[in-house]
Amino acid sequence: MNLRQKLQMVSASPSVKPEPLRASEALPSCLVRRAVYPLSDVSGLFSLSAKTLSLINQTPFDDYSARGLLFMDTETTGLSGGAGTVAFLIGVGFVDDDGFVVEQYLMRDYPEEEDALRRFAERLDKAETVVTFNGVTFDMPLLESRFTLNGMRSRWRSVRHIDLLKWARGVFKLRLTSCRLGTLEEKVLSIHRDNDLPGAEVPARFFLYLKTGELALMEDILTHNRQDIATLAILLTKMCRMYENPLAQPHDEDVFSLGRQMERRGVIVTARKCYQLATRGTLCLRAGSLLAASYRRQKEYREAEKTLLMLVNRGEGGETTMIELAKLYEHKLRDLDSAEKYTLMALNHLSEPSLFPREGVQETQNALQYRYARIKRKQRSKRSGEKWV
Amino acid sequence: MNLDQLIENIRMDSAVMANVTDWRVIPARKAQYSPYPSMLPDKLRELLSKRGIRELYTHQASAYEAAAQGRDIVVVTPTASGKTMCYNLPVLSKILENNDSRALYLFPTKALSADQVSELYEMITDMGVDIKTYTYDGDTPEAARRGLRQAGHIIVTNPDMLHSGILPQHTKWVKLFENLKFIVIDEIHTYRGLFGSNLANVLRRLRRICEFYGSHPQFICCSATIKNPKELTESIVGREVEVIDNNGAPSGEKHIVMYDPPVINKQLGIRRPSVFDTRFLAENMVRNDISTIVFAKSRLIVEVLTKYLKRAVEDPIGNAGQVRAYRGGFLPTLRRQIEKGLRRGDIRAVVSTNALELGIDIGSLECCILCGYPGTIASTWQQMGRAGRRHGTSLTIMVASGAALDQYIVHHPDYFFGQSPENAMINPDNLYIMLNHMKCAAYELPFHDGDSFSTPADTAEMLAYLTEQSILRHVGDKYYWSAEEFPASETGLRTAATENFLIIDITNPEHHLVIGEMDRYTVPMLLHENAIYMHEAAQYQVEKLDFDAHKAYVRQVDVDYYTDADLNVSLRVLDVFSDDEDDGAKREYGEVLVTSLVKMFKKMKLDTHENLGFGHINLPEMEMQTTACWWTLPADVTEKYGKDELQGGMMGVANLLRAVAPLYLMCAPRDFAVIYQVRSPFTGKPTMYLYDNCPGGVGFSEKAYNMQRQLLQSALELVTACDCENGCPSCAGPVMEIGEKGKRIAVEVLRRLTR
Repeated sequence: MNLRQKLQMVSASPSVKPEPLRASEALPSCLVRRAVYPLSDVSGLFSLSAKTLSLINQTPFDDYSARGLLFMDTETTGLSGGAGTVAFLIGVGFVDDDGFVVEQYLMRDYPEEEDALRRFAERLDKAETVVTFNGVTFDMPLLESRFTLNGMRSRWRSVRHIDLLKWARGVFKLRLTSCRLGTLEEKVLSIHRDNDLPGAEVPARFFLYLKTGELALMEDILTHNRQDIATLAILLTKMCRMYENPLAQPHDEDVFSLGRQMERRGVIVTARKCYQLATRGTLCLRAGSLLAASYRRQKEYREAEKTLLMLVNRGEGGETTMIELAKLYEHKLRDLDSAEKYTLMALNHLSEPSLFPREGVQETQNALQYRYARIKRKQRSKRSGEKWV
Repeated sequence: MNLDQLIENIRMDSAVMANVTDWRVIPARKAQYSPYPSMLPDKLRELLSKRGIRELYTHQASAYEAAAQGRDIVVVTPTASGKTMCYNLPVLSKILENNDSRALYLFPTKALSADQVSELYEMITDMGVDIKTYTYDGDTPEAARRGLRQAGHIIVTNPDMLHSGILPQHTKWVKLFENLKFIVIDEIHTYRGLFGSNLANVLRRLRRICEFYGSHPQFICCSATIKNPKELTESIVGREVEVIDNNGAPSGEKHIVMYDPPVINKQLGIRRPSVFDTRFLAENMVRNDISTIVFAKSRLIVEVLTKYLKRAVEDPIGNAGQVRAYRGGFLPTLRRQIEKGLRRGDIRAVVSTNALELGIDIGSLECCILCGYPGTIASTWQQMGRAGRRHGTSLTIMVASGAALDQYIVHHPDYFFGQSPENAMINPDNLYIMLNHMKCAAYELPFHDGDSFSTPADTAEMLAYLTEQSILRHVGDKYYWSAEEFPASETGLRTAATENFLIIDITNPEHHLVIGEMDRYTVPMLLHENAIYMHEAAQYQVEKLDFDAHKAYVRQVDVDYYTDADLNVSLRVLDVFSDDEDDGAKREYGEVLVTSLVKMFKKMKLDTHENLGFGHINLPEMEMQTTACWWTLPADVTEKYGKDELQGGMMGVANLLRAVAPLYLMCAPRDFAVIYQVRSPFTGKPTMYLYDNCPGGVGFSEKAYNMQRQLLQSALELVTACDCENGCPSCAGPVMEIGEKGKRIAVEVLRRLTR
């Protein structure tokens, strides 16, 4: 079964129908919804490795167990995130003996908020890692604020956090521009939601419910939230897989972006392979430039030369690549004749008539002429030096 | 020549002395000291004695003791009396005593906060202690905010930021609110009218939040000399405060000169423009290297005068860096640079708008020249205080303009010196203002049944109203915020519009440079196409004004003229909310559209101020929808007079209303406006309007309407109590403005309306 099928199963038809539960403790209790999916739906979560998670998240995962994950998403009365914004629905997803459980704590009116927070706090206590989408800047600070306002600061806990929005931006921004969860579902996970309530309509829907008392109005929100949580589980698995097999990705943009992330995390060899692969298509110049820069930094000048020559031969980057190559020859490879050759090539390139007048051509030309004169001077002194010897 | 010699010279110069209408010398004052208060921590004692301060001034010691005993205080002393010590010492003591303590400093402008932070930094660095002071305002980078919320001992901010950035996010400031010991409000006299009424409500919200976190901060406020510092402070902070005014700071001998430029056209009674004489007097100072500040009333005059003074001192290659302009619209970095130059003495003369009136530290200057009467007694004293700090002689010259009020002041100096400065008025219970802040307050923390924001009854009524509007939800005993919006972003604290225009210099096509900004209401006057915009005495011509993009593109030019635009204001009634007729005199209250339009500008020659011609301005009208109250004058009075006579009389009534309304409406003069129409298109009759001078209105005109006859009655009392024959600036206005019969008609109109 592929991921898409899995998710559609998870989100559209949970194997156990959601059942309303009423807790019976004192104080106004919130509405709790619990849906259980078979573990086979999220089997990917069991094969994640601490090593991959540590690498992507750049936080140490000494031990990993799927049961330590707490997926979380809130629905709120607004986006301002100030003291007057309430998370009226807190949804969590976790693995237990029954399967993959999604529990939703719905505040049906303001006095029930405390109970919803208390239930969330109990889940948080058991969690090793919280997984959210934009939770670093939105959900977690908002919940912390709600704890403060309800006099429950002592129940708040800071937990290791995976923010999948951050992950997704690192990998998909180049290809998708937008990294909204809906976009990712469609373009990365190939999931299409039917009749989904747009997030922007959530606050108005909640206020309408408060006014009318029609609990049925909340069904769309509950479904939307439950699907979001299911998506988080799928997305986490998918992204770990991508990091584990960056070269197997069908989109060059993703390969290139994974390369950049790898390089940032110091996994140079894989990063270079990604760049190399990405040079095959439209990202040739960007990938090639980063690849050459990586070689140069590690003093592998011959490899850098090879990469830059490839770019020049393909006509990528115009005079900029030629200048890079000239610099490499002059300063690193001490090959003055080649340096001269590419300096002249850059000068010629610049003097060709161009349809689009560019800025700063004069300065570049001046710099090149200066470079040319210096190379000439070096050549002369080298030759005279040889004579003397 | 030093200043003493220069003063002697002026005294001997009969040509100058012919224009001097009054010359007073305020003798030097000796310092009065008190020993260090016994509770003062050793660290601070060491710091003070290292700086050569062996004793405190009396008011500093009193402030320290009162604050240490837990009282709320307002310190009222003149400029340069060392009042920052009045709050820095108690605050630093408290933090030294308990490192968890926190303090919040509020300044009316960003410029002032920057100044304060640098002074505090110095004290803290010299003590070598770990006390963190941070500025939190719109310029604070996002990345820095998180840390300073937790770690800052002293948070320096302004009311606007407190209102929209801190209070609505109070849960991110737990450490601050749990441990808040002091709230410092400097320059509290600037919070009058709308701004003050808003601040009072912001502080009501602040107090609720402190209560939630269990802290009980004290207030330390500082004020310049106004008539009612205690009343103003108490209505702003909502508590009883103790006034500390035993000023112990010394001051040098002060010469205050009233100067009236000569009449140059006897027939028309026209005087030489004040700019001309200000220039001449200031040049004399600058050439003698006397540090000088010149205050002018508009940005334009500031720039014109700066140009003159630069010319007077420039070196052979045209450098004149020791003369600078200073005004609103300069970018912060430029302002900081000028302030620093003044303190260090690199800058010898500065020409400023009232932007430098507030307590920005620019060191001590010897001479102050006011080009025109600043409009109120309080701000005149503030500006004069810029010259002559603690020791040595200082000189202040007030150069009158031809305006009625200016003339009155320089020819009745006893009136000026005998008057106490104005009341500063606020109305925290203004329904509109309070309602906005109750929304913000409800957003921040739910209200409980029986809570009191202003009074319990008002609060309950407003909560019920907001619940009806579905903005709040009443469940159990609480009112919860129940809307998607962020209420603080819908309410500004100041009257001025917030959207600023950028001024972009395109002289160098490769490198466009933003050289300043301007609020949108001033833009049509100063940045219309072809206007000469002056910036730091360089001239720029406006090439293009992109009204939609909020950008003005200017190019540097060198011309011998400046431009001056004419503003026309008109008013149209949109809706009548209530009306009342009383003995044939109709009074109405409703919604109006005030339109201001700039159609023409004049080109004025530099030096001579001759009119060189006109230009047309093609700009959209600026519209403001607001509330107004208007009176229709009954035909039985108005029929007797011709149009011109009646116009004079109505102008007289308008002048009187402008004078008395702030007292009764409890606001600043700029918060409302009075205009008249000899034949109103709406009523078809002569009509007087009083409208709220801010979009949407804030209830001043409604209050005027509800006062029925009281406002008109007091205007009548003012004019009948005046001894003058046919009108003067202190009643209906000077004869030249209102005509021979103006005062009489004004009295008759008011009598009729209050019959």
